[in-house]
Amino acid sequence: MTELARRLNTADAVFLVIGSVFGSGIFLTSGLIASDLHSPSLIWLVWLIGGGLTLFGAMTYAELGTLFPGAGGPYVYLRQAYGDGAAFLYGWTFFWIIGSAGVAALAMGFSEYFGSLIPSLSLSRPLLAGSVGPLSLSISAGHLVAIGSIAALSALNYFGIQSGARFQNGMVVLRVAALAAFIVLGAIFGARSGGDNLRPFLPRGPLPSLPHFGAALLAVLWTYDGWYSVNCTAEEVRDPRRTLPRALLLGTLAVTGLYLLANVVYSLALPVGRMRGVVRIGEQAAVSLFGPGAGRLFAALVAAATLGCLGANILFCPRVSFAMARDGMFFRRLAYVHPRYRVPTTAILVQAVWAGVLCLSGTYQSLIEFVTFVLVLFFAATGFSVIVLRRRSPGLERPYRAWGYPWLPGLYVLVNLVILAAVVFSRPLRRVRPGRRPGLCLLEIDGPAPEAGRPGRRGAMSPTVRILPDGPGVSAAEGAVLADVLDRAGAALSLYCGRRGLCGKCFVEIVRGSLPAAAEDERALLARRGLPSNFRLSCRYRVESDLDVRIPELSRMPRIPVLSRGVGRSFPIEPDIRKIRLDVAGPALDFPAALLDLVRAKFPRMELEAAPDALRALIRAWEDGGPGGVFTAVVFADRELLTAEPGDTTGEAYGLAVDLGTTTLVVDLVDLSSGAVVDTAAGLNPQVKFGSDVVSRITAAFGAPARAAELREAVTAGLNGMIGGLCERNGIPRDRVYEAVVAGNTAMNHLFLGLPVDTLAVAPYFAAFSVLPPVPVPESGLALSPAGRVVIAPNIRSFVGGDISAGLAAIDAGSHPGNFLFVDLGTNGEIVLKKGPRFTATSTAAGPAFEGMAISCGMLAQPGAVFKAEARGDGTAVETIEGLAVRGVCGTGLIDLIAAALRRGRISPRGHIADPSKRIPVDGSIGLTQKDVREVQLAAAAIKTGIRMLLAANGTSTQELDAVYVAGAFGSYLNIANAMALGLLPRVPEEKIRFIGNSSLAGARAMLLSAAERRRCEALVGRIGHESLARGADFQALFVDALEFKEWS
Amino acid sequence: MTETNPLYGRMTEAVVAGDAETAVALARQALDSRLDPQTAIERGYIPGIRRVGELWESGDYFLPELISGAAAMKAALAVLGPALGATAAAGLSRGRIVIGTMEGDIHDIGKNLVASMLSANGFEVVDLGADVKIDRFIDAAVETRADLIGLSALLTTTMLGQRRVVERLRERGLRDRFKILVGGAPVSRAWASEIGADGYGENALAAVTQASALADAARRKP
Repeated sequence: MTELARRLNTADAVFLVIGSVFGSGIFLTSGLIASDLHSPSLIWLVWLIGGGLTLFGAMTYAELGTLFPGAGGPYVYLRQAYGDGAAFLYGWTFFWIIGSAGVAALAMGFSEYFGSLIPSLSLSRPLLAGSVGPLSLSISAGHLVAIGSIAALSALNYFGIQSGARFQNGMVVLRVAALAAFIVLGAIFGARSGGDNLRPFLPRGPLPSLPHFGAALLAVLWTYDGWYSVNCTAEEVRDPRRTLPRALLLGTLAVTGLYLLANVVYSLALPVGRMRGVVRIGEQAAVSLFGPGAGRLFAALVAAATLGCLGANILFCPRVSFAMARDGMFFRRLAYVHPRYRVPTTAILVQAVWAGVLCLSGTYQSLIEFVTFVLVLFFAATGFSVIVLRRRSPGLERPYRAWGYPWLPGLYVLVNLVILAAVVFSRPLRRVRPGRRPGLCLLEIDGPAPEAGRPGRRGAMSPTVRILPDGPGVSAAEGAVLADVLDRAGAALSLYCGRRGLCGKCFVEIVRGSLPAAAEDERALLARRGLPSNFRLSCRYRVESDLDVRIPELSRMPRIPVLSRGVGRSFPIEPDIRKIRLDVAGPALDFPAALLDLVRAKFPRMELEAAPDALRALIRAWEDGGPGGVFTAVVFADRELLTAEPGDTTGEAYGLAVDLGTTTLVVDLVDLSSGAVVDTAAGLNPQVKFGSDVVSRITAAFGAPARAAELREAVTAGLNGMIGGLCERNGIPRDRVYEAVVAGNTAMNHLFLGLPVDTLAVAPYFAAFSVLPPVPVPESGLALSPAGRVVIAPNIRSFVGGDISAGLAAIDAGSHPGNFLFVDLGTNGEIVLKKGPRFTATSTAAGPAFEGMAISCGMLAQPGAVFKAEARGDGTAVETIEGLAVRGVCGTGLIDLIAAALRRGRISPRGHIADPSKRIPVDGSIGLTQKDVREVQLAAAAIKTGIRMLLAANGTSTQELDAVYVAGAFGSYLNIANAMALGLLPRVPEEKIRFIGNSSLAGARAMLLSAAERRRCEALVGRIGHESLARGADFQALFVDALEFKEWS
Repeated sequence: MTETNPLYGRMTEAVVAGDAETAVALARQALDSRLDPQTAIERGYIPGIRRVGELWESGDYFLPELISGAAAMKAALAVLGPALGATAAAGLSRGRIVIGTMEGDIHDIGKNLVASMLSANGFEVVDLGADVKIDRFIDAAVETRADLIGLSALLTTTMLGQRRVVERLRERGLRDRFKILVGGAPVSRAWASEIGADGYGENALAAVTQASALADAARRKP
């Protein structure tokens, strides 16, 4: 009878250990354990302890392996220590479940990642479905990929262990090289940020409880699992007595080292807070370090790692059933060894077929979960067999004796018993849910996801929330608010009303999991949105158990495209930031007494302040640049030396113009020498999750310094992400960006600076500052040159903020001739009137109707939003953004629709919908309700009343206006005739109306590029008077009158 | 015997149309033709304001119609009121309510609307205006021997003052003397019960219904 051939050398064996351990687990686990551990040091510690325990286990198995260097590994040891019964149990479980289901899970995991790279081959591409007996089968393109990978790798192994091992080795080299590259690059990129994310490195506050730590350790241990592969193939290893212990030692040490370093990089890339609950942590870290492009590359790495791990498993698993068959405990035929290839070919084939069937049935996951506790019991029993055998057969030759016997083997056994207890007593078998769709199962695992045989063990941990169809699964604390959990998972929801359960914009479908009865108001919202009864408000829903949810597109927070940049205006480019080249004529006799004087000499009055930090930089720059060399001084407002740089860097001066909007953030990266906008980034203000409008932000921060700090952190993090992206994309180092001009409304700039907003919330309503001296960068929290300055566009009044002063700067209001009206159409409508030399400002609560809130089908100006409509024939022709199917209606569309309905008499001027259905259909199920029309009436009336009262207070009328500037997101899409028909804008000749788009950004740019513009804006603010509408005696009468849709008379 | 005077129908129409001038003229005419003022109110005007309420709830009417309807009602009541006998006046009065917007809040359109709907529905309304201090509510309620206190808040921040009024009433040992009705954009039924208020009006009409129920309950008490 042919025997197996000893063809694996030490390197093969070491690689086999690494290959069968190193799968996707390292890329998927740290985020999950970060939920339990709250500092980098604890996370690293868990990985270190996991590696240590693995090493003890490996050394224990090394003794067993050298004692019985035959095929089958643990099966052999169990048989020797406890007899045939135990070995039989293990062997059968291993063949049917542990080994094959593990292979199936890895293959499906590979297919999952592969499919995310090549969607046409994904698991969500169904080909056919049916059932065979109790197994329901459904076949997708992804299944074919999974089965194909099993077949291909089995074939490789069929033709001799060398071909299998060669592939295996190659994959290990690839994986290790890729991970090493990630680690090295990650360390370089991560270190640039100064290691901020590592802080606080040591845990603050109480340490995690033992069960939490244990749960984390458990998750980590699974990622180390698989090292005994080399024991199973011991019969094919050359000189096993020397090779086995070496392979086990080197293999586990290598893996431990790689895992630890990978975690160091994760910690550099992401603060623990942002790691929490993230399944695809590796990808997240890569994106955070290297930008969005890295995500795809990383998915490829995970796919490769999974494929490699699959190869290793296909190599070693058949050796167990082979050994059993040889002992007569399994079908004899599996003991067949191919005479030429010298491998158990039948065992390889049978396992491949069975694993393939498991892939199709989708039951492999349940099977693995079902035997988890048996598996752990076997680990313990195998470890204990070292002790049993030493007692029973002390005389056997032991070429290698386990370290620290009996303590370390004992510890290994003990740890496994503790895990066993945890698995059995926590929530045993809770995951057995037969008949689930395959493919989806993979993401359902809340452990290291698509990894073989590793799920389930996290039974002691918190519930998992999975976003269908293919979003990540995240673990959640019991009782956590679903919206928060989804937010952490990267699925930001529209929380317009600040989680008060009022707006009904954050509904998600509860596909699986507990479904508590909806509250009365929630039912009303469901009915209004026409949603089925299994939808719940995610801001109210509390996670109690595992959950599958589906998020309707409308409930998701939209991505923000770059909006118009606002008007451009020409002015001389003379920024506050100036760079001065200095040639050091030294060591000459006329060298000045002090280095600073060298710079001062460039200014007529020798007035230049410098902080110690700036002086330090000056000395460094001089040292690096001179003597005889050149250095560059960076000066702000001709008044202060900020920093100095060696060499001539005068061409590298950049600044940022920031539109700090309540809803959106826009950042222009500006070249301060040429005045050109190098690049622009736009994003949603991350504070939106605290509520969409200013009032809900103020409410969130009101009397709650901790919450205010959270709001501050959210917006700074959002801006810094955008700044980082801009710098990286354009190859500009952050410390060449010296100034940011930030234009935002009062609440936004208060929150940005970490100032309490309480005074803005309660009458008599005042702001903390109007004109603010430039803020040193470190105090602002922005990530630009720490020596730089942040200028806050000045506030005019409590509710008329820097966004408006910047808007006025954009049109050079200070030297604007004649009379004009400036209207910013936002949630808070701000209006400024210039009459002769006099400026008066007011604000009016227009409400968020024009931004889509409070309108049943309302949405922001996003793809699919109706932004234009006109009456045509019998119906209404609508245009959507990007021409997509109608998803909702944005502000300009709303105005057009109502104007069209008004002209046709479908709405009376008083806003009453004539049709008994009380509905104005738009498209399909989308239509305006009576309440929607009422909201528009209120919004338009607020603006109209504001304008009227300002005009009246200044004794003027619309006839005297020379221009009406319309700022805000409406941009030029606002149909002037329609806006006038509703009374939203005063009736003036159309050419007098000027859309200035994002005038805050344009104004911020002007202030960034011209010191004179900044000073003019700051001076102007002092000249602007304020009119309080609500205090006006006839406000109510005017407002009620303005509710009627009609043109200005 | 049922009185079917065509004047009643016209009174109702005048209120529904928000036509204060006609409503007042009809009230004078009723007095001139020696109609019983109480019957005129009950059969002429009250059905009118009820109808306004229905139209508001169905969405057909909006703020302007509601306000003019209430104004017409109020004007008619001002004419008929003095002609009522003391007993009849007392019988018609639904109760007295002190109403205002919370301290720190200067928004008062909502409160004004509730106030006029309440008076149109027969309540005696003591309107304290906007930005009203906590103790001012209580003092006014004590002075005017009010049955109810109505608290309006348009901001989530000033809404907190509503809780303080309830607490302050308890401190002063006056909690049982007044029923408290809360309202305003950020206010919800849950908030009302959380702070221990007696009623919550989602809109001006609901406020009237709530106030009537509370006043009736208070009156039934010995």
